[in-house]
Amino acid sequence: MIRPELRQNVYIRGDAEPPKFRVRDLDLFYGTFQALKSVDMDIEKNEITALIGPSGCGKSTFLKTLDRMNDIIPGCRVSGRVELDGADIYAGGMDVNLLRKRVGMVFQKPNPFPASVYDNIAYGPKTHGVRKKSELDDIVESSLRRAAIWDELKDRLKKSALGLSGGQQQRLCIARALAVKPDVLLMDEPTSALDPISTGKIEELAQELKKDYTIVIVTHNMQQAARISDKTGFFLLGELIEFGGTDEVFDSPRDKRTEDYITGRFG
Amino acid sequence: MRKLFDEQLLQVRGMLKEMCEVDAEAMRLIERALISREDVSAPVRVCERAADEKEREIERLCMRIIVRQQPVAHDLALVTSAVKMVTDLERITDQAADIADILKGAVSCAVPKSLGAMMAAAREMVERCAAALDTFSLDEARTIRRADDVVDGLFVAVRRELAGMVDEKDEDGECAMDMLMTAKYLERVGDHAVNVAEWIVFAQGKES
Amino acid sequence: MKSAAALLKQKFAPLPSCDLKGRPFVNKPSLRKKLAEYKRHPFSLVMMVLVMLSALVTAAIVLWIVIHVIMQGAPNLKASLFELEYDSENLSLMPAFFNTLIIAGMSLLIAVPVGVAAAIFLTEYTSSANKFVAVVRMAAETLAGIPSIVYGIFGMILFVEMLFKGFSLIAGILTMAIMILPLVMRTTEEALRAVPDSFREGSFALGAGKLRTVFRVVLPSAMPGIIAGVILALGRVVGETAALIYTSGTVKAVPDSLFGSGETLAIHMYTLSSEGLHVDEAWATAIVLILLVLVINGAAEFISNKFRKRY
Repeated sequence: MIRPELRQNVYIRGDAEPPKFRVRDLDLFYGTFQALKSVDMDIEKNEITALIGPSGCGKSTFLKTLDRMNDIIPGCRVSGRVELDGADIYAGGMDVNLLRKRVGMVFQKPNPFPASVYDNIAYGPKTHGVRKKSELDDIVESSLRRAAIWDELKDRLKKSALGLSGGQQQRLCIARALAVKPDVLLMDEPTSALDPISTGKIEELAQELKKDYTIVIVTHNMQQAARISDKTGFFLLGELIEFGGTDEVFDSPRDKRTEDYITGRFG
Repeated sequence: MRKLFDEQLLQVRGMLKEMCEVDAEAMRLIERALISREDVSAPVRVCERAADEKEREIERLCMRIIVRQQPVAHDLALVTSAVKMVTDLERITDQAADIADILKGAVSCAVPKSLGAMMAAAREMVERCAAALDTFSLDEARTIRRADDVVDGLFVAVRRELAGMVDEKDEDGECAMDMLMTAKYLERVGDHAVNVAEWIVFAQGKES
Repeated sequence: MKSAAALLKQKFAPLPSCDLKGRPFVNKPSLRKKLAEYKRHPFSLVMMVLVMLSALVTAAIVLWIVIHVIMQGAPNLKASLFELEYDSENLSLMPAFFNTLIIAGMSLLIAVPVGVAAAIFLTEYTSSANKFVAVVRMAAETLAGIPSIVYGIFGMILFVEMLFKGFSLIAGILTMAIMILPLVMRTTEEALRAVPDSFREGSFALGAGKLRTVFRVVLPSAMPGIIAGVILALGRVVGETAALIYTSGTVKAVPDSLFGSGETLAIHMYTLSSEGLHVDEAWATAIVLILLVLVINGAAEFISNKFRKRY
């Protein structure tokens, strides 16, 4: 059910072909605290959707509802519908592990496993039943190539991933996520711990990857959202205040609160 | 939040208004030249140079704002419109200087009646621009656009009047040319004023 | 490629006292400056001397014990001490040595899997707010604080009198296992808790289940900590006397089966010296015991480093 007053502010596509994610009237509670309030959103294939908003506005929480990473948190309860390619991911028959294989995630702090570069990438495919060495080798190489880090790491595959720089670690984590062949990539502030050069590399990578993947990125950096995204959603106090084309949101936001936030006059 | 940024944006608006006041002063000067036939080319030159100076100042400030504050949404609209607007504001003093020069050489020529009216209308448009820049008022900007129709109409009237005067031999050819040039420049001033009004509308994120 | 000697030379070359432009370094205070600083803060000087003394005393005590044991024991280290069978002539320590290995190994074999599994359950499968977890943790803490003689009495009543009817290695093994279980569990739990949640999240986000995440990501990361706990436990077993005298007994031979009685090195030392006749041999045995502990610690350190280095 979509309340009409929300519809005015929220971009909802009416076409016949379904979007990658269709989120309807999503509520989320941590204990008794309501962290998401009736969120409606359509996330399109092969686009970068950026989620912005002040700290604690629910944007990361929303991101984690898309691959059910919130399930790990005790006391977290979700109601409403989240459809991936038309299928409700919170329905009874949904295999959460398979869902997370289809919807990869990259975290704020690079979190490579304390293992070699090779083992980091191979972990995911092994989890999903790839055993043959030659096949794993291929996956490791192609994933690292996709993440534009193969040239830097091809001679260090057996070295510890923890010895890499922050930017390399983050691209390794992207490669690790790509290794299980997802169709969606969720990124939770992927560059907030990185220097400008590494940030630039990750942004360029995201642009490259959107040809084959659907990307949702949470960011505190509004310029970043403006630079790389096709759609932008603005969250405030658990509500999706405004969602639309990035050009429109940054040129002429419809909601005063959005304008105040993106022009830096929030509060 | 963003105190310095807000101050800088206010500063841009203030400088735009000051520049437009200079334009209005130049317009008043050439109007006096038309009525009392005195030579105003020197003071109008002063205005022109002041406007050039202001133009550069405003451009520099806007570039600095873009580089250091990365404005978006309405802030960006204001800054870009300011950068565009200064060109029009600067052109107005250029036209005024040209008119002052023409009038200096045509002190003995008869002035068509509608040219006086046209001068007053154009001067008023520029003064309205200055007022609109003070408040960034949409209504004021829209009246300026309507006033331009009056100026355009008066230009046609001046031309007709001059043609009649030449036929009657009340005005020699050279004077008629000078008066027509003056009218043409005034018509351009009106266009620039309209442009300024349109940038004011744009700065508020509205379709013009 | 530099030679090893060149590398060593480079590593131990004295640091230059001035920079490339010949200026002295300004951020390293000279001794005189340091002393002047301490003059202004006499309490700092007192504290510094105290902590230095504490470190010195600790090192001195260890050194003193080791040197004393070696001085007393080394002259008495005779080949006859290492004969396979014990008799009142050779006073061989070998049966006790083997019994020590058996009891330590077997008790670890029982306690480590159970303790690690319990720790995994507590950290990975229950939330920290769980009441049951709080009770289990409190019980483990209490058990870890109980004097070992209490375990000995408990083992004697349960295993020696009720189950196996007599002193036996198995009674000693089971008692030791019970004694070190809480220790292994607590240290493993700490090690598991120290594994950052971001590793678990990273694994879950790739579609790995709980079991795979725990065994492939969490346990390997916690391994150095777990090994450290196991070493502590091993040390307690090897050094234990009281609890074992009441359970595995003092027979100076390797029994035919786990149901026979046999003594460990520590008990062997105790019996030798308590009789007052063979104090010299007790010292010699002490050397072997210390060496055993050193070897075990070294091996564990090596394994633990191996884990750490790989990642």
